[in-house]
This record gives sequence, structure tokens and C-alpha cells, in this order.
Amino acid sequence: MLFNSIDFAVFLPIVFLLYWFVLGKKLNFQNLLLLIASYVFYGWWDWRFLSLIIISSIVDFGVGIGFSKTNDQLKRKILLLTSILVNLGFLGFFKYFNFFAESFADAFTLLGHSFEPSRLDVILPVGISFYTFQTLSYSIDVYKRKLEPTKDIVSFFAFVSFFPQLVAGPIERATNLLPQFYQKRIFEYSQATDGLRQILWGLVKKILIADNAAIFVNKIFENHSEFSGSTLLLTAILFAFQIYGDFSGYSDIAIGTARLFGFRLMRNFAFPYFSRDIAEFWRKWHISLSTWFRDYLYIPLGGSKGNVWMKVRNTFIIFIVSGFWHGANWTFIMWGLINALYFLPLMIQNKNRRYTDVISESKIWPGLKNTLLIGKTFLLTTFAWIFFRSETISQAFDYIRIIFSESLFSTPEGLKPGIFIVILIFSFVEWLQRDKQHGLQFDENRFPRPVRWIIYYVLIIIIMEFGGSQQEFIYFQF
Amino acid sequence: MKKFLISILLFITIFFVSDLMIYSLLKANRPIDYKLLIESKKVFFNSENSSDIIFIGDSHIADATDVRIVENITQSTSFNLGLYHSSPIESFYLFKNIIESKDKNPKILAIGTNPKMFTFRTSPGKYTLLVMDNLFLKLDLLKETSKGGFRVFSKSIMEKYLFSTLFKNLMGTNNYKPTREIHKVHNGYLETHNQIPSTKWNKFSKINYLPQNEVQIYYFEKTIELALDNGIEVIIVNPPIWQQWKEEYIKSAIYLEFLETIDKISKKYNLPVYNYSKNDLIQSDFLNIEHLNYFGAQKFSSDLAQWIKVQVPTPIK
Repeated sequence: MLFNSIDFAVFLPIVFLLYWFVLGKKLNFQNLLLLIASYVFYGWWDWRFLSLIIISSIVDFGVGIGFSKTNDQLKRKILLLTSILVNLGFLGFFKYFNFFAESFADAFTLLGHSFEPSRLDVILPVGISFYTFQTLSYSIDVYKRKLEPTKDIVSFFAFVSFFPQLVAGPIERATNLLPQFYQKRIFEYSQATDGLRQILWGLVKKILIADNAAIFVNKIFENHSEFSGSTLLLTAILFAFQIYGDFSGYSDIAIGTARLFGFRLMRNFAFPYFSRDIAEFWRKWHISLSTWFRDYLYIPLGGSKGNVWMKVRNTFIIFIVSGFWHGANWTFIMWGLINALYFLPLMIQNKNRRYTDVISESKIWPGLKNTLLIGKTFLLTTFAWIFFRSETISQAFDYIRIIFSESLFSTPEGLKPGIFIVILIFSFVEWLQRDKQHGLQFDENRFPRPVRWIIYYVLIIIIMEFGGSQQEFIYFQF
Repeated sequence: MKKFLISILLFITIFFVSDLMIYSLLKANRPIDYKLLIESKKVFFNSENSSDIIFIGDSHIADATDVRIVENITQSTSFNLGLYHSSPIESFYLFKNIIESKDKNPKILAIGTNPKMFTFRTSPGKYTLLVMDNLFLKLDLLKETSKGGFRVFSKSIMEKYLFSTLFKNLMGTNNYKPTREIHKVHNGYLETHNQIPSTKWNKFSKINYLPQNEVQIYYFEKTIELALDNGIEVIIVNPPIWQQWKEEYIKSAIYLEFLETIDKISKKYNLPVYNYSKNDLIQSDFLNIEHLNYFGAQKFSSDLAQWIKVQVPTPIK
């Protein structure tokens, strides 16, 4: 079920009313409702793949119970390994099998032995990269004794499949989300209204920005060789906003929806395009994945401790794995590699934590220096996005070649200025809100209700009227 | 919680009340020809009667078929549901709406064509949503045309094109003259006597090629299948266009591709295809180079009705 669909617009109020009005006093029944609702939400897309979530949940619940019964380190390691193998096994089978088969075949072809690799003709289960990582975080945290293993099967299953963030995150840690299923939820008016505002802002990002940008991006990336360098440059910039609007829009809707049910999910985006360097960008972009890799991969590898070589190695590993997580294609690996190259100089010079404050706090404009830094970081990320969006590495290089040709100075074609004006207005609003959690968060005392409601009505009308054609969320494919 | 729910209900109520008010204002400013078009077609769904023959398609069939003549010759009841700018996907949902309306199934479905119909972009159109009465099918049409469906909740957004008319009326600058001067309305047919003054009968602008849209072809076939599955006879009707324009048109790839597609589909489903058999249409029979007016519709409908009598031996009435 898509957040930007009528189906969800009907589904959400039904679940909400049942949750608070019918089952409001019974925590177990509330959790059971969330579990059923989550399975309906997922099954709406393809009920057959529910079995993967259920198997993953059963295995990790069992592993948790196993942890609670043994202190033997070897047995605990075997249990952890079971969880890792099952979850990564699913991921590897459905997501990476064809990639590895083809890559091996390509490698053999280079050695002079060509053969046709066997391919799996299966679709990628939506959200598999998200829920497998989420449930893995439980096994690892219980193994490390950061979390008590749960005996509450309904809560655990609901934690794994919690519908607001099931298919595209934020990837929640068991330490944050699971305990919330044990606590009695109290309805808070301010939380719920701000949750609705966050949902509305997420829809603006998705429907107004991402879906409209997608119309141009899809057309131009598919036929990039027919367009000039100036068009391709502007399209790459459009894609930067498309992917931001799409993914952070999803996260906003997910977080806002969870708040309606009394849950607090972690922040996933913190206005990343206002970053002054790449390190700051990566602290603000897809925070739940970056921190997941930091905690479960980077730090166990040694993190930034050790000699320069260790730092370089760990940085490359984390960025390349992060790229590979996004998809079984060399383009994603290249995207990770480029980001590693951006990040590495800052890391080696210990300058990767220069910018941890809110940019130009309490000022309206960023000033010249910050503007240049933001522009530089944005262009660097946009350059990397070209690899992310391209179908193949050679397409990406060809795309870049055309950008840096003479046609860079020609008049762009195939684009409409309207979308850029909308993006400028949107960016300005986000800039004004950069110290907040989302673009529509404001103090209710500052604006009287009629003003607030007029803002909401205007946004709703804009979404209805100017919404682009309905597109799936990009991150569903990951 | 109580406060939250009251706020939400109040918010939604204000939204819908305001929307209804704006919609009423827009509706009151709808030009008379379009007002008659929509109201005449809505009659079909508002009435309890069914019709033996239903005509669907766009303005070509809407203008060409005077159902009174068809009714007289075939001794049937007929309804003209042709809608201006309607594309095959819209016609499909309109027809599905008929099928899902209780006891509305016709015995014959006449699908009107337009040489450009398969090149239309996938869109919910301008009038189809206003005529249909099944909310779920309206949603489906919006979803299928990739509009996300949210606009179905706002009547005024669906009628947004009337804002400019409203604005002009308020400013007193509206010089709009109806394209069609409608004399009478009968079962969806709008009797139009005039010609559009600006029509160029001998000089035509260049025909730009547009590729066929597979979605439109798919829905054209789906409409046929839906009818056949429900035991309804299907006929394809090609309304005539101004001869000199046709001579120019048939040289274009659009026209050739259209003929090929119609030929392929009619053979696939074994459907009879009607083309006007006489050579008696003169300039005064046309509203403009693509549409017949009342006088042309008399000739066309008579010939079509005779053809239906011979081609479709289904007992009617």
C-alpha cells in the first residue's frame, strides 16, 4: 500500500479509530491490531512475501529466546550467526543472486570462458533491506546484552512489521522501538497534530516535488544522449531533489503516522542539502542507515581508531557496503565509492566533525561563505547521484561527458521552469525551518488556528491540483 | 482525544463545505453549451430507464448521432453518451459504470471513433468524471490515469477549468460565445444547428505526428471485452469528417495507424465496422471540419440506423 494512495487514506483512519477507541485500554490488543494492520498494509502489495517477514520474525524471536536460556558464548555466537545467515540469506537470495551470477559470468568471460549464468526470475520483495536490518539489530543488541530478549511474541512481530516504517524505514533499532510496544500509549494532542503536519509535509515533498521532478528525470535519463549538457546538469539537480523529496517525504509520513499511534521513530533526514561538507551531509542523510552501519559495521571494524590505513579501509568498506545495500548494481557501488573519496580527506585530517551545529542559527540568510560551502557540497552529492540514477556505469560516464561538453552552455530543453520555481520555494521554506524536525513544525501559539488551517488547506489543494503522476517511492526497490 | 477528533471533523467539514460553495459558484458560471452537455449525459444515470443502444466515444460520435432517428428506424431506445474530449480509457470507465449500474445494460454498444483517439495521453479527461455516478469507478479512473486519485475529493478542483470563466464573469470581460448553439436535447444528443465561424474549410494546419498510446488501445479492447462478456453486441462506428480535410488527413501516419489498429481489433473480436456509405455530406452539414452539426447528423444517423438494422439482428424493444 502506498502512502500517497486513496487506499492508505482509507486504511489509516480505520486503524486509528480502532486503535484508540475500540482497543484503547488494552495494550496487547493494540499491539495485535498493529500487527494485523501491518500485515494487511504489506499484503496489499503482495501477500505471498508476507511469509518472508513472518519467517524472519520467527527466527529472530527464537534466537532471542535462545539467548535468554544460555550464557555459553559459543552457543550465543551460533544463535547470532543463525540470525545473520537467515536474514542476510533472504537478502542475498532475493536481491543479490542475479548480480553475483552475472558478475561471475562476466569475470569468466574476461578470462575467455563464456557461459550463460542461471538467473532467478523473482521480484524483489518490497522493503526487504529495511526489515531484515531492523530485525538483525534486535539479535545483535540482545547478543551484546544491550537489550533484554523479549518473550512477548505479538510485540516482537509488530516491531518487525510496524507498518509506518516497514517498507522504507527509518530502520529502527530494537533498543528504541521494541520497548515502546511494552509501554501503555497515551494519546497526546500535540504529538498527534504535529504528526499530521509531518505527514502533510511528507506528502508535499513526495507528490509535489518528487513526483513532478520524476516526470522530467525519467524522460531525460532514459534518452540522455539526445539532450544537451545544460539540460543534463539541470536534470541531475532535479534528481537530487526528486530522491530527497521521495525518500525524506516517505520518512516524514512514516514518522508522522507512528506519532498518531503514540510511537516515536528516529529522525531520518535533517535538511541534508544545507550541509557545509560531505561529513555533515552524511550525518543528515538517511540517518537510520548511516548510524546502523556505524554501530554494527564501522565500529566493530575499529571505526576511526587505529592507523591511517585502518581509517581508509573502514571508510571504504562502510561506503561501498552502503552503496551495495541500495541495490545489486555496480552503479550503487560506484556511488558509495565516490562518497568514500569525498569523505576520506575530511576523515584523515580529522575535519569530519567541523559542522555539527545548526547552520547560520538565528539568521535568515546563510552568508557568502556558508552559501559557497552549501553549493559545493550540493554539487558534489549531485555528481554522485548521477551514478545512483544511471542504469549502468557507462551510462553515467556518458551522461557526465555530455554535461562537460560545449553544450553545457546551450539553452536547456525538455524542462519547464515551473518545477525549479517550486523547488526554490520549497527549499526556502525548509531553510527557514532548518532548526526544526520537519518543514511544517511550528509553535501553535505563534500562529492562530485560522492561519494554520489556511496553510494546511493551501497545501492540500496544491497536493491535489499540482501533484505529479502517482509514482512508487524510489526506496521501495531497495 | 476528543479535542483532536473534533478538530479533525471541523477541519474536514470546513474543507468540504468551502469546496461545495466554490463548486456551486463555478457550476453557476459554466457556459450554457457545456452545462447542457453534462446535464444531458447525467440523465442516463439519474433515470431508471435503460437503453437498447448506447453510443460512447468523444465529440465526433456525440455530434453525429441523433438518437431520435436511430430510435425510429431501429425501433429501439437509444442514448448518446459521447463526451467531448473523451478518450478510450474514459469510455471504458463510463461503460463500466453503466454495466455496474443496476439494469442499465444495453443490447448494443456503439463505440464511436476519432482518428486521433489512440494518440490521446492517459488522462481522466474533463467531463467523464462529472457524468459518472460511481465513486469507486471514478477513483479507479483517477488511479489508472496516474493522478493519485486525491482530486476526486474536491468537486471544485475537478471543475478547475471554470475558474477562468468565473474570473472573467466577475470582471465583466467574458466574451465567450458557445461553440455549439444547442436547440434541443434528447437522450444525450445535443441538437446543434450552427457552424463555427472561424472554421477554415480549405486551408489546414500541418498534422503533427503523435505515436499511439498503448494504454488507450488496451482500454479500447477492454471496453469491447467487457461488453462481449456481458452479452452485449459491439459495433464500431467511424463518424465522417469534412471530405477535403479527410483527403489531407489520410496522408498522415496518424490516420494510417488508426485504420490499421481498428482493422486489427475488429478482426480480432469479429466486430462490424460502420463507415458512412453515402457521398451527400456538404459543408453546411458540418459544425467544423471534424464534427457534424444537426443537418449532417440527420443524414448520418439515418444511414447508421439502417446499417444497424441489417448488421445486428439482435431483437430490440
